[in-house]
Amino acid sequence: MTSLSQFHRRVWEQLPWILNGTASQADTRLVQEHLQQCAQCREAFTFEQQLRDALQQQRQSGIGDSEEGWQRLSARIERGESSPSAVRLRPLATQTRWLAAAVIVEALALGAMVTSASFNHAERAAPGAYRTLARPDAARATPSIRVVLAPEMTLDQFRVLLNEAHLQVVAGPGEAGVWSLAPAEDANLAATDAALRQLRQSPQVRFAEPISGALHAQSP
Amino acid sequence: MFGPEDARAPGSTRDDSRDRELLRQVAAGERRALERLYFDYHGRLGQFLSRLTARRDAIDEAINDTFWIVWQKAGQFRGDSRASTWIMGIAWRCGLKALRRSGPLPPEHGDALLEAMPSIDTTLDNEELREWLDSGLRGLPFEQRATMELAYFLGHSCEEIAAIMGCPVNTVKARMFQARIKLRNLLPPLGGSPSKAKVQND
Repeated sequence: MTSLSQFHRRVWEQLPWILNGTASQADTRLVQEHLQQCAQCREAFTFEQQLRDALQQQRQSGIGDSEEGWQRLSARIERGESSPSAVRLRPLATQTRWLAAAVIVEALALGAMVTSASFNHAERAAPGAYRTLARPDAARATPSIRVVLAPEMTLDQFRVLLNEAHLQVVAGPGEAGVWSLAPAEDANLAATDAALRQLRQSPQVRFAEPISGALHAQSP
Repeated sequence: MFGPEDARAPGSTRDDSRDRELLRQVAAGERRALERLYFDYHGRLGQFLSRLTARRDAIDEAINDTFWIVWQKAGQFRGDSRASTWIMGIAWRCGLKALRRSGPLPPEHGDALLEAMPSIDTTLDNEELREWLDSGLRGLPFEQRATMELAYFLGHSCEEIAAIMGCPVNTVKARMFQARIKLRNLLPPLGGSPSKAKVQND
């Protein structure tokens, strides 16, 4: 058995990173100088080179066909399928003009929803494209706020914001990335203004507006 | 001693700015950019994930889960690392999930493996050497296998591997050190005679 001294161990630790070209210049120089004087570490370096070369030549079999994999992923995207590991927050379009137009279109659709007693939410949402953070009965709630989130907002951040503002998701995100929110079961309608202020204070909320008519429609 | 052959492993010298641009396009919803990234990374992700599980269906699923998340979250890439580091970090987490679902590679412990290994034969050819290496790698914990793959096959730095695996840099150094010692002691054909090659972690 060869026991490595502390310095030799330090050199030995550096060998992989020197071999793969990611060690600092100072470490590379230090090791290089040492290897010129130390046969034991030169032997270790040679072993390491052989190990790296063998590893690079070792291709694993059993990796699936990339074309087939891509077709499956494409189909998954087409379906708007959701992954348990993440929630899809649509990236914002770079052109705000397009966004504004889309929000107006969506607002008109939401306005129609508020005044229509026979509105069927399931018919409006594209199959599989719907992702909600809402409670099970949220689809029956009347939306009072529409909101657009920054693309970097995570599911957890959104959930916390909803809880703090006493809101729940009714629908969304639509094609323009607009979410429709309603007061949570434990909130009263008077809290909508406060919830709006809270949403607007969040740097990850790009757009938060009340839906006209919603308060009136929900009043007893 | 540090000639051109010692540069980063194949596949790791790709133009990071190109990958960043593709991620930017993916964030804007461009499916073609995602497709280019997918085909660029499919082989190396498969190679990397095969160090975690031997099941092809689990590897395929982890690759697609990775790119599903890339599609969803490309806008969250801040650019404070190489794009490949960011993508490999997602692949590592998807690989861990696949590992939990499918189980690890067939268990082979180092001591048992050492006993099962054939006697040293200096005429070992490359194919035999690869088989020994494969057996040696299977004897390592998957974290150590993955660390070696990221360093030697994919050419990532110690700091990048820490970012990918979500662990401290010292943990990466320790995993690499332990893996190399085990392989060195298990693979005498690479390191010369066992008496010369045998080292210990002291």
